[in-house]
Amino acid sequence: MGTGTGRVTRDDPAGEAAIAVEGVCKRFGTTTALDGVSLRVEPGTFVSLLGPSGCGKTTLLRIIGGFEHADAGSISIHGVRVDRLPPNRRPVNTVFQRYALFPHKSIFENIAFPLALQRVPRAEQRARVAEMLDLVRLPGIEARSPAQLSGGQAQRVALARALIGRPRVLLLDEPLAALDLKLRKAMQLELRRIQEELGTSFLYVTHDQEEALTMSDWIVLMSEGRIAQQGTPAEVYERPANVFASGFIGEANLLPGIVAATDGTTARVRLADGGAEVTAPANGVRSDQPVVVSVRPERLRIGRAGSANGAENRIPGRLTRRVFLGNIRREFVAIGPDLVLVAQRGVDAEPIPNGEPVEVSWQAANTILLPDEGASHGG
Amino acid sequence: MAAERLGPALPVQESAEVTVGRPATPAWAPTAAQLAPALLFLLVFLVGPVAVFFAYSFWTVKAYDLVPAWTLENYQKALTEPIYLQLFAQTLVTAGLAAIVTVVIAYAFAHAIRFHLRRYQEALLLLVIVALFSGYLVRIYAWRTILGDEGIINQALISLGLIREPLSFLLFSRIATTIVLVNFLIPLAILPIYAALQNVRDEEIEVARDLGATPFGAFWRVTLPLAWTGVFAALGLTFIIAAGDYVTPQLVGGTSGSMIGRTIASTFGTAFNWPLGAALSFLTLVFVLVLLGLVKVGSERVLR
Repeated sequence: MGTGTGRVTRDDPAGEAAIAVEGVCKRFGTTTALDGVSLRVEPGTFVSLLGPSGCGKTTLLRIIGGFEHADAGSISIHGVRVDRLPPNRRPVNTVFQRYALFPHKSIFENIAFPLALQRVPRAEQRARVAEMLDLVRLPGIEARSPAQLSGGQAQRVALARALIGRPRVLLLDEPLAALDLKLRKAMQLELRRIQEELGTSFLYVTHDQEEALTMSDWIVLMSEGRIAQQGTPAEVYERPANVFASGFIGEANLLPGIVAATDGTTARVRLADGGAEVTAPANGVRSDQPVVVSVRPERLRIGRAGSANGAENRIPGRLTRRVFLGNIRREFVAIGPDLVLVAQRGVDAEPIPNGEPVEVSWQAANTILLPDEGASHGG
Repeated sequence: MAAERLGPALPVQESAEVTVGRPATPAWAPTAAQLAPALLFLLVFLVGPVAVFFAYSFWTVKAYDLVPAWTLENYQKALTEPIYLQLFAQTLVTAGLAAIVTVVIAYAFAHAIRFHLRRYQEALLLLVIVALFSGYLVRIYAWRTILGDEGIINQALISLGLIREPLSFLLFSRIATTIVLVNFLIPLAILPIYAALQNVRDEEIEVARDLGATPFGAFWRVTLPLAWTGVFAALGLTFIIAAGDYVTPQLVGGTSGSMIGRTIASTFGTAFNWPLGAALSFLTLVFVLVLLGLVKVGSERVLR
C-alpha cells in the first residue's frame, strides 16, 4: 500500500488531533505495560498500533476507550481531555477481538443498541440499521440472532454496531484475529474501504505486520511499553530506526559487524561472522562502532560465482536450501560458518542446485546500518 | 428427506456395526437409560402421592372416614370463606416479599463475587454452602432471641435510650416471618444467580458501556437479561419454598405473619379434614404457579 492518501498531514501543528496521547504510563503490579507513550492520530486517518503480544498496545487502546486508567499522562480526543470520563461519555467506540455481540438480542437490536439508549425514533433506527448493514455488505439480516452468524459476519455486525452512533474515532482491538487467513485478507480491504468511505479516524491494534502495512496511513510500532518507531508504512519498512523495527516489520537479514571505515556518507562494515566486508550508507555511524547490517531478502540477488552485475556488495556463499512459496522462491545461502542469508527469487529465475557455490550481491543503497543495542535480536 | 437420501447407505452401516460386534441399540437408548432412574423416582414418590391427594381433594369426610364423594365443595369452601382467602393473600404477599428481598440481596452478593472479588470466589461460595448446614429450627429459635421483647435488638435500643418499651412488632409479625425466611433462603438463591452470572462475559458489559450505556443501563439491558434464567430460577425456588413453609410462621409469625401452610397442616392433622387440606394445597400450588408465570411473561417483555 502506498503512502499517498493525502490525508497524512503530520507537520501541520495547527491541526487538532483526533487522538492525542501524551506521556501515558501504566503499571500492573510490578510490570510496566506502558512507559511514557505519546502519539497523535490525525483526523480521518487509519493508524495501526503494531507490536508483539505484551507490548502494551491493547492496554493503550483500553485506556483511550476508558476501560483502564493511566497512572500518568493524558488523553485528548478532538481537543477534549477525556482522562476522567467513563467509556459511555467518550466520543469513541471500540470493536473488540471477540465481537461480543449481545446473544439475547437480534441483529437489529444489537446494531440499534446505541440508538435505543438515545431513544431515537423507531423509524429512524430502522433506516440507520439498514444503512449500516449495507455499509458492511450484510443487508437484510436484521431478524437473525447472533448465534446464526459466522465469525466474519459477526465481526461485520460488531463493526456496524460500533459505527452506527457515528463516532469520530473508532478503536479496533485485533478485530480480525479470530478469522481465517482468506477472510482476514478480504476484511482488511473492507475495513479500509469503510474507513475511507466514512472518513472516521481508525486506531487499529494488531500484531500482524502485514495487516498494518496493508491498511494503514501511519504505523506506530510498539515494543515493551514504548514506541519503537512510527511513520508511514513505506518509511518504517524502508528505513527501520532500530533492530527491533527492522526484524518485526517485514523480513530482514540482520548481520552484526564492526564499522571498519567511514567517510561520513558511506561506511564499510566487517561482518562478525565470516569477515566479509559490506558497503552501506553511513547513517551516522562512527569507526569501530558495533552495528547491525539489515538487508531485505527481496534486495538480494543470487548468481553463479563470478556472474557480473553492478552491485557494490558481493559475498561468495553456498546455496543450502530452497523453499517454494508459489509466487516466489526463498533461498538460503551460507556465507559464513554460522551465517545464512535469506534471499527471495522469482520462480522463473534460473534454478541453481543445492550446495553450489554462488554469489550474493546487493546495492549499497539497499543496506541499512543500525546501532547494535547489544540485545539478542541478531538474525 | 435426509433419511430418504441416506436410505441406500443404511444397510452398509448396519452390517459394519455387526462385524464390529456391537449390539444394535437405538440411538435414544442411552439417553433413556440416563433419565429413567430420576423419572421413576419422581413418578413413584412425587407424581403418585400428588395424584392421590388430588383425588382426595374431591372427596369428603364422614364420621372420621374419607368418602369418595367427587364433589367440588372443598374448593368452593376454600375460595369463599374469608379466612382462607385472607390466608392465601397473606401467604402470597409474605412469600413474595421474602422471595424478592432474598433475590435482591443474593444478586448483590453473587454480582460482587463474580465481578469484583473473583480471587476469593471459592472461599465465599464455600461460606454460602456452609450457611446451608446449620439447622433450620436452631436458626428460627436464634431469631426469636434476637427479635423478641427480651431480645438483643430491643434491649440494645432500650439501653441506648432510643425507645422505652420493646418494639413488639419485631417478633410475631409479618416482618419477623420475612426476616427469618430471607435468612434461610439467601444461600439457595445465591447459587443459581452466581451460576448464571458466570455466563455473562466482561466484554459484553464493556461493549454496552462503550456504546453509551451508563453503569445502570448496562446492568438493565445486558447483565440482567443475560443472567435472568438464573435470577428467575432463584425467584421461583425461594417463592415456592416460602409459600409452602409452615414452621417459620408458626414459631415467629403470630397472627399477622401467619401463612396458609400452617392452616393446611392443622386441617390435615387436628381437624382430620384431608379433602379440604388437599384442596387448599392445590389452590396454593395454582396461585404460586400462576404468579410465577405472570412474572416470567412480564419479565420477558421488560428485559430485552
